[in-house]
Amino acid sequence: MHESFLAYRKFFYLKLGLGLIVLSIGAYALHDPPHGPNGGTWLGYTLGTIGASLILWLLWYGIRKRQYHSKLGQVSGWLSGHVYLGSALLVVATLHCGFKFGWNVHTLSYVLMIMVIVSGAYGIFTYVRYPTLLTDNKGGMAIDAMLSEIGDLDRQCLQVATEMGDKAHQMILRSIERTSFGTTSWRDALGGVSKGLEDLGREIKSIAGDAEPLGPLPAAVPQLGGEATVFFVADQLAGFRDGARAALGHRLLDLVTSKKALVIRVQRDIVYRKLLKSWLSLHLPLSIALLAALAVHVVTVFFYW
Amino acid sequence: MRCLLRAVVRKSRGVVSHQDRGFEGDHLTIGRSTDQDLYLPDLRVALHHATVVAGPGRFVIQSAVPSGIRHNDEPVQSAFLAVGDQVGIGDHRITVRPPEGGHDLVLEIAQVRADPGQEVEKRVASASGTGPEKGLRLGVRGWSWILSMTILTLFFVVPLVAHQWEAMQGFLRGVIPGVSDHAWSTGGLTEGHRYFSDDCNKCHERAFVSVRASACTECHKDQPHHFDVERFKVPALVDKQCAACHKEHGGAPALTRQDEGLCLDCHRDMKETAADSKLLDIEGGFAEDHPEFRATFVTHVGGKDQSERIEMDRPEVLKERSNLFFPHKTHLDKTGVQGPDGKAVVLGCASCHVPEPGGRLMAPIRFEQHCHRCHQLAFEIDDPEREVPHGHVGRVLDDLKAYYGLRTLERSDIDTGEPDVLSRRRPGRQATPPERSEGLERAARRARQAGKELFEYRACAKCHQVDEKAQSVFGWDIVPVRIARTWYPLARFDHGRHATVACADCHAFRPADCAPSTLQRGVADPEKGAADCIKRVADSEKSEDVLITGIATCRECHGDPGARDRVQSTCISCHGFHLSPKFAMDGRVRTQAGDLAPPRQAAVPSADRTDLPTGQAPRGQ
Repeated sequence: MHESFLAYRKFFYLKLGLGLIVLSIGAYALHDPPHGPNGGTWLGYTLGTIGASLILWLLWYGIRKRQYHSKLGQVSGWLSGHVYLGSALLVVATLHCGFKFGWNVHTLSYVLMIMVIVSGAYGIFTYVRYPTLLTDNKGGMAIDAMLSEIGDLDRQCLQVATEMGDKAHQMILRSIERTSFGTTSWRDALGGVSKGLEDLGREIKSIAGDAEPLGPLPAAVPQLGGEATVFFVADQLAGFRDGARAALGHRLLDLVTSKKALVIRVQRDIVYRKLLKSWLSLHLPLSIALLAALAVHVVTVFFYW
Repeated sequence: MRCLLRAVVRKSRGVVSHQDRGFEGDHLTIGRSTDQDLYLPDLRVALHHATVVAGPGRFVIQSAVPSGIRHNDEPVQSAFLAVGDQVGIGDHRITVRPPEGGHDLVLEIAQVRADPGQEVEKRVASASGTGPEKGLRLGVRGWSWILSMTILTLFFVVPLVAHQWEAMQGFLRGVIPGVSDHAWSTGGLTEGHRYFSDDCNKCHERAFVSVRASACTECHKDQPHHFDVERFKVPALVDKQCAACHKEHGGAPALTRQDEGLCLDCHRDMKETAADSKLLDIEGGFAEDHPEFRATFVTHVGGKDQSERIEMDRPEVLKERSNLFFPHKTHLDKTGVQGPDGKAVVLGCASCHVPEPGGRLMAPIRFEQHCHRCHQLAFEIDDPEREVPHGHVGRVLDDLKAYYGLRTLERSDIDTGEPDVLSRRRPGRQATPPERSEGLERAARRARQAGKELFEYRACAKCHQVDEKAQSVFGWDIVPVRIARTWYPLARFDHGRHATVACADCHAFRPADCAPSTLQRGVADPEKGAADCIKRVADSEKSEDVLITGIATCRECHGDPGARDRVQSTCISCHGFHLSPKFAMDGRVRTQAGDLAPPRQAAVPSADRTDLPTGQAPRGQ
C-alpha cells in the first residue's frame, strides 16, 4: 500500500513539528524579558539557534535526495520532515524575532524565509493535486501515444483535404502548422492571449473571403486544436450538395474533432506538468538566497554585538 | 535569375548523393503541383506553396498560402534568403548554399523523414520546458547564484570593506545607507542617542566585542551611580557592562529596565539588604503590594532640621507642625473673603497655588505675592500706607523707632494726651539734652506699643506663632515656618502631567477620626467615601491638616505593568534610580565641595572596565 510522504510513519514529523510549535509558543508566553521579547534574549538566542539549524537541515534535503546510496533514512521520510518541520519554522522564526521588523538585513532573511515556506507550501499543494489530474487526463494513454495519434490524424486530415480541393488543403495545412502547445513562460502566455485574439480576427476575415492577405504567423500561439478549422470544415459541409463530397466533409470533421480533443489533453498534460515543476524554480533560488541572508544575519549580529 | 537546384538523395546505409538541376527565369515557383519549378511531393505542401523572386541584390521567398513557410524554424510569410538559411516547407528542407558555377542562387533540397507526430513531439518538448534551454534564460542554479551573491555582496562584503576604509564608510552611510553597516541595525536609537546614530562605531568600537561601558561613560561619566556602591555589593549592577541592562536599538522602553524585578531583588527584604534602612519592604507591583504612602515632615530637633515620615493611613498622628496659622476654610469661603477695598473676593486653589516654571511642582507661597494684598502690615491708623517689612523681625522695631522719632521731631506726633515736650522750645534754640532724651523715650515708647500690637494681636500673630519669651532685643520672635515643600519627596510627581485632573481629586484630608479602611482600593466609592469621612480642602480649619490623599487615589488611575484598565506604572514611573550622591558612574567619588575626584582606592568598584589596550583609541574619535 502506498503511503504519502505526508503520512510518513503515522504523521511522525507532523507530531514533531506541532510539538516544536507548542513548545516555542509556550516558552514565548512564559518568557517575560525586561526589554520585551527580541532576538537578543536567552529565548531569542535559543529559538534563533533552533531556527538556523532547522534551515540548514532543510537545505540538506536538497543534497540528501540526490544521494541515492545514502543510508540516512528514506527520502520520503526526509521529505515528510522537510514539509512539517519547515512549516514549524514559520512559528519558531517569528517568535525568535519577537515580532520586531525593520528595513534591515535581519528582516530580509525573515522575508526570504517566508517566501521559501510559502512557495514550499504551494509545492505541497501541487503534489497533492496535480498527479491525480495528470493521471485522469491521460486516461491510461501515454503522451507519446497521443502525439503519434495526433500525427496520424494530421496525415489522414491532409489526405482527405487533398481530395476536397486546394482551399480545404490549405486550411488543414495551416491548422497543422499552427498546432502548438503550452507556454514557455508567463510572458509568452500573456503575450499569446492578445496575439491569439488578433490572429483569430484575421483568420475569420480570411474565411469570409476578405482579400486582405494574412500576416506573418505568430510564434507559439496556444491554440487548442484549431477551433477555426472546425468551423471551416463545418461551414464547407453546409455547402456540399453531392454525396461523395459530403461524406468526405463528414470524415474530415470527425478527424479534426478527435484531433482537437487529443490536443486539449496534451496541452493539459503540459500545463499540469509545468505547474508541478514551476514552484521549484521559485523555492530553490529563494532557499539559496535565504542561506546567504541567514549567514549575513548571524555574522552581523555578532559583528556589532 | 540563374539558379541551381540540388536535390539530396539518401540511399541505403547512409550514403548521400546529389542531383543538380539548373533553372533560369524571373521567379522560381515551389509546390506540390507538377507544373511547379521546384516540385515537392508531400501532402503538407500546397499545390503552389511559395515563390522565390530576385529582389534588389538579394533573393526573397514569399509564401502563397496562409500556413506560410518556416524560415530558420520561424514561421513566416516571406523572408530574405542569405547563405546558410534554411527554409522548411512540409517535410522538405531547402538550404541556401554559397553561389557556384555562375549561378546566382544555389538551393539544396532535402527531404527530412520526419513523422508529423515527431514534429509535434518536438514542439511539446519545447513548450513544457523539457527541451534544450532557449538563449540566455537563467536556470534555477543561475538564479540561486545571482540572488545569494547579490545579498552577500550588498549586505556583507561592501559594508565590511567600508568598515576597514573610513572614506568609503562615510560615503555609504551618507549616500546609500542601505548597503552600509546601517543595514545591520536592528532598530532605531532612542531620542537622546540619535544625534550620533550615523556613526555605529561610536558605541560598537571593535568588531565581535560587545559594547563596553567606556563607550557609555564617555558622555555619562558624571551620572550618579546606581547607589552607594561601597555599601551595597550588587555585582550585577556594578561589574556588568551598561549594555547588559541598557539595550539600544529597541526604542525608549528598552533603554532602561522598566520591570519591577530589578528593584524588588533588593527592596523585597530591606532588612536583608540594609539592616539600618528605614525603607519599607515591597512585595510586588503598585496595584496590590506597594505599602501606603508616607508623608515626609520636616521637624526641628536640637537645632537641626530632620525629616520624619508618617503613613497616610494614620490620621491621628498625621499633623503638620508648620508654625503657621492658615485655615483653608476661611480663605475658600464660597461667598468670598473681604478684600483690601472692603469688597468680597472669592478665592480658588489657583489664586495662590501656581506651578513652577516647568510645571512639575507648585511654586512656594510668598507673603508679598499671595498674602500682602489683604494682609497689610500697617501700624498707624492715620498713616495706612506705612508698613513694617515682612520677614525681618530685627528691622521691625528699628523701623518703628525711626518712624516715631521722626514724627516727634517733626511735631506731627499723633495726639497721645501727653504734654508736647518740644513745643515749648523757642525757635532757633537747640533742644536741650533733657528735651532730646525725653523725645527719644517717647518715640521708643510709641514704637514698642505699636510693635506689641503688631506682633501679639494684629498682623504677625494672625498667621505666625510668636515666641514672646525670645531673647531678642525687643522680646518677640517669629517661630520659623516649616512647610513641607512636597509631601512625597521620594516620588517624582509631575503636576503638569496631571493637569487634566481636578485639584480636589487628590487634595483632600482625613480628620483624625476617619477610619482608613474605607480608602482601600476597590472598597471606596470616591463619592461616598468623601461624604462619609474624607473632607474637602475647603473644610480644613487647621493648618495642621495634611491636605493630600494616599495611595488609593493614585490606584484609581495607575496599575501594574500589563494592566488593561489602568496607566501601566512600574517602580521607575515614580521612583528614581542612579541616585547615589557619592559615586559617579565612572567610579569617581564626590567630595565635600561637590567635585568629582578619582576613587580613593583601587578596590572601589567601577563600571568603567574596558578591554581596550591602553593607547588604542576606539574608532570614531
